[in-house]
Amino acid sequence: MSAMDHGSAHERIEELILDPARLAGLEASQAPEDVALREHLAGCLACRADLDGWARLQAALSEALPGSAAEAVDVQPIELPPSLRTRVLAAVRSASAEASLAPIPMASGGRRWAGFTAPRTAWLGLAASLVVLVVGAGVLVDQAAKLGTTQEEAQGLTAAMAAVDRVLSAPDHRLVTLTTATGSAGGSISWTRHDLVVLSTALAAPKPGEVYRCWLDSDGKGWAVGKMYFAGSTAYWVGSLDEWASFEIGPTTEFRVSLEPPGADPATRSGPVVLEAALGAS
Amino acid sequence: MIAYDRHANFVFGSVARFLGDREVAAEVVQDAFVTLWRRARQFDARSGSLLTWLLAIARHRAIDRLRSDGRRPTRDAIRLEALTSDGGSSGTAAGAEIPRELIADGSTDPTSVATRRWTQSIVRTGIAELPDNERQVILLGYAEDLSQAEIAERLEWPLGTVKSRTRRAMAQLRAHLGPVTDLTEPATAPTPRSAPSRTPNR
Repeated sequence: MSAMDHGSAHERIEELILDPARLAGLEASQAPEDVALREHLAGCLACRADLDGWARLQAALSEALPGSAAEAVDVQPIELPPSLRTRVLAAVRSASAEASLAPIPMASGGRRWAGFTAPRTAWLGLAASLVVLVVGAGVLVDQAAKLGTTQEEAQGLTAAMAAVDRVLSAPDHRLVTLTTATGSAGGSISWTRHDLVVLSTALAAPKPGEVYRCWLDSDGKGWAVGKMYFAGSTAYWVGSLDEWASFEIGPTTEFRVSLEPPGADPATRSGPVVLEAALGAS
Repeated sequence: MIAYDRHANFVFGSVARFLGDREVAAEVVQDAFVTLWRRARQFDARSGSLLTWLLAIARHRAIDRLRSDGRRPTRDAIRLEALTSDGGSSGTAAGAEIPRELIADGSTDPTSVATRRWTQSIVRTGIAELPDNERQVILLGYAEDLSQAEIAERLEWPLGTVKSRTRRAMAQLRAHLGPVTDLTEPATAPTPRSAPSRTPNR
């Protein structure tokens, strides 16, 4: 009898996984199809590995299940406590607050904002959510590694996460609440002299061609400094103030996010302002 | 909270089965997610899935909890029926018997017992997450050692339906459990509890 081809071998393996006893008896079986399968497995590492994987799963199932279905009540779904999600989120927020209050040795140097003591609860909550989001996005990347856009999103979130950490670690970081066009709270902007992080959950995903552009305005002049990226319902932007060595955030500096239409000049604000904050007012 | 929404059910189910106590399991799961937050920068998706990482954290926390409570999983056999939504919040059964699958090979080493118990908890959670009709065929096939034909007869389903549901269930279990159990390690072929004497059903 000739050895099976690859496709036939997999079909045979698919039959065997239906029956633990037959898979267990494969090595001793003299049935022609089992002999042919063994011959194929002897020269095909891929099929051997596939079969071994199924065998291990069957072994795990046999060991994990009780001796009779009557005792198998433990494989019914266990309901997740409804309050657990809230508890976890609160605990993460608490942990993030502790982390932000840990003393971090800082290089000497004057800070224009050394007296800043604004409440940070809302911002920390958003940051904590982002961190969990970052890790979740990592899983998405893991599961769909070929999706370049997803990977790019996760990388961006990872960078945002790193910036969040840096900002939180600086005892003299500053933050203000962003307001929407209707005057309601729409997120936060926080910065040290090195990093600037914007987080918002108030923005709807832009339509194709549209872009949420970030601006720093000061003394009647404006600079386009970046655009908002999205991960789920969270919009974020991370900038490095180190790159703008000549720029100072002063008492009249304002940060704005505008929704720019398709084809708009990236250096000129033409769309409506959807988020804004006076940075010098903090 | 994507990570929580995606994985909390599985992690909680595994820990609750391992510990036999919903309240303590909830505390362990909460602790695991806080640890995840604190160590987020250490996560590398290339070295394993987030669920694998979360379960590893939860396992350590659960074993720590057993140690701090002076308990061993073998001594607190789990009344798992008490863990279902109808069973109340406390599931520890004092004085319950040691599960026979844990002592069948004479193993009483706490570490190996805990490891086996943990793996069983994860596998059982994977089974619990299957759709009802797929869970049924897996239970009858592995807990009662019924053949596909016997399952079809028992459930009064066409044999083809039983086979297709078994295939789907096995594929989902392998996809779900493979990365989080030792299923990727070499192992011997399975040994069914009953002798493979039944007539092939195809």
